[in-house]
Amino acid sequence: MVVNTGLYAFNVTCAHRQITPTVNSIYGDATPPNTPADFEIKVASPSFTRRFFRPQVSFYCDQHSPFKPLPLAQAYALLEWGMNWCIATHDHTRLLVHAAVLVKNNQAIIFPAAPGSGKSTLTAYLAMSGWNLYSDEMAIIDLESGFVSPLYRPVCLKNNSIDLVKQWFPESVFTSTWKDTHKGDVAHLKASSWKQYIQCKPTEIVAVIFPKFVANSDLKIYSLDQLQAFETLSKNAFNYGVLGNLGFKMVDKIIKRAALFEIEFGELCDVQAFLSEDIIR
Amino acid sequence: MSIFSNQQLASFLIAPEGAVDLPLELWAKLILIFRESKLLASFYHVSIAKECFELYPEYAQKHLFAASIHASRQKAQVLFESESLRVLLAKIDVNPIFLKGANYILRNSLNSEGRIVSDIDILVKKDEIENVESALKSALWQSEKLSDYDEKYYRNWAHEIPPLFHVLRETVLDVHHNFYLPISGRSPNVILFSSTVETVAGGCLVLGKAETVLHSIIHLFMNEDFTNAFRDLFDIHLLVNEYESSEFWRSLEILASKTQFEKELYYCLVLLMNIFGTQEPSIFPKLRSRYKSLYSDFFINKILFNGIMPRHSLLNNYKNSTSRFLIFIRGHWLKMPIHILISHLAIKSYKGTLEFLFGKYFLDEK
Amino acid sequence: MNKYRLHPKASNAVMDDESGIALYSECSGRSAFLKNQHQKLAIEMVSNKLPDTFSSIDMQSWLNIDNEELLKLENWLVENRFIVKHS
Repeated sequence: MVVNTGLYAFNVTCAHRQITPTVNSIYGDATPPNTPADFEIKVASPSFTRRFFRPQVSFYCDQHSPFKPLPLAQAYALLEWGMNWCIATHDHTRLLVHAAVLVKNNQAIIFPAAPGSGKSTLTAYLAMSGWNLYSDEMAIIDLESGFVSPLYRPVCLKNNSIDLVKQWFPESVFTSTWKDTHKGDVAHLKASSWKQYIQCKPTEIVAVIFPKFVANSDLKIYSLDQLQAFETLSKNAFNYGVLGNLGFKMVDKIIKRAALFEIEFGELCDVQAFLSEDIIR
Repeated sequence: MSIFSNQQLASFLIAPEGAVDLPLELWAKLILIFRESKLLASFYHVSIAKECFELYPEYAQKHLFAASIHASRQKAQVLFESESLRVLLAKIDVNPIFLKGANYILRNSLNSEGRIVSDIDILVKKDEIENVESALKSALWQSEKLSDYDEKYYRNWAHEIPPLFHVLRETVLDVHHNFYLPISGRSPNVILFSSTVETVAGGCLVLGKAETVLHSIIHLFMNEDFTNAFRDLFDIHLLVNEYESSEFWRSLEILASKTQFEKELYYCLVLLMNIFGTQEPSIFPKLRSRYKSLYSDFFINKILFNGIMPRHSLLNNYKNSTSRFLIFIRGHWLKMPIHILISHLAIKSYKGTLEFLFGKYFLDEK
Repeated sequence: MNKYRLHPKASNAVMDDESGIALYSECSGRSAFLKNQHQKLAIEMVSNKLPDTFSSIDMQSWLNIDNEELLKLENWLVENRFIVKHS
């Protein structure tokens, strides 16, 4: 089974039967790639006994398994994390930043953030409110143009935000919820179709915004100086250390062109209003 | 069935223009195999040198190029670490000799282009070991917690101390006082290697040319682990091609004879000629007349030839895995007297059985 | 007083908003972020790059640090190949 995420194709061999319908519901509408897969991956039992005794699965990229095995019930979540791992550890032809990317009027905003910052909830909200979803996890930045490219992936939601997004957008397409993973309960939201995805083109980054969810807080906006943004952005880039000077020059270029903010928010509609009115031109 | 033979894989490395017309499906497989055998970035560099990289399909170019960026960063890092180590150890009047990957990178030999280096190896005198270890440990180099058995293995039998890693940079460092386990009775007289060192970039010391090559041969043929053997043989091919001269071959022959590794040199030359088409050197006929036998033919052509094939499920077959198993046993056999060997293997295989049954991670210490 | 220049394999980026200087050393693979604590930095760096040579005193005044911190910083920057002594 080939999973086409646009920029990267994955050949999923030996997937557990349970996850095939989920993979199809998320990626089934994508056109098959016209080159061979970039990565050979599988989700399989790490040992013979583990097929029967407290069944576990491991993620394999070609011959190796980079993480600890997880209970069988979390196989799909493991596949998604494994795909992120493949990209982050192999593609050094671009700068890869741990960030969500959303686009409006051909202007991209990237949201680098730590876990628990409400980044994915914000991503889901914007993606379901007419913004183009470029990525929930990874900003893929061309080292010459500095433009960010879209990736065809679902949004990974955790804990309470799963039910919130379902309430806000009753028509949204979700996978089942995988309980008690190391990130808590997890579900994936299909926030765009392949048809929408192929309309998305590499886009200039106009803002770098570090979001932070604070319950019941009014929207607070802090402007960041370039040096702070440089440091934080480079620390959030998976392959900054591998790219060396190329990565340094690119981060420099981004922070000098983009608006730089840190925001604290309690309500997503406030964030959307701020982004649409003050950032996007 | 393997999709590529040893010779085919080698031909892509020595004549990369041969890959230009490869169908994309085979490119995908070749990339997996070369990535797994740590040769993808080297492949990028040979294709640049032979000016055929631009003719490769875009699909292949992006994977090769990405691998080369990773290797370049590593190369810069190895230079920095080596120079920092030299400065650190100079404070206690120790001038370490850099071995293997760090040696290639420091001497900037052709095989260092795209060479993946997983750790830095240095050689110091045996009576310097204690000082070196404590100097390193007071400069953020630490060792992993070892099982009592492994600790005893290193301290009593090995030619190196347990690996150290740098707390901040995560670089791994192996400190050796010999090239091979003293307990085997085959460890060479290190003075024969350390008396001809060269000073290179950043004031670091590396082995001389012939010494570099013989050390690579000892490492390859006396080791029980053949995981990177194909890459290691390619290293030797590039080194002998680059340093080739009648003086070089004569030094290599004399050194191999003095240290009693002539047989290993013979094995290596036969494999180089068979797999990489390396030109037969002038010293070869003499070695052949001395070491060619039914046994050595069988050992080289059946066991080593099959065992050296890169380890990948696309290439796996019964012959390769049997050969690797035999090489594993032989490697241990060479290293240790038999009574120690039996208990060593018993412990290793007990651990292996547990891993097979419960999955590798079940055994991780928290 | 020590005089320094940038290591030949280090890059520097002076921030447009005068917030400081980012440095990258190709040798050590490390980055350094030096925060501007003094208007003097902005005046000296009109050309958007570090001056060709600079002294410990210059660094001290840009970063507004005491002697002890300065000494630590100088050593760290030299050790990690961001700067070299200029003779």
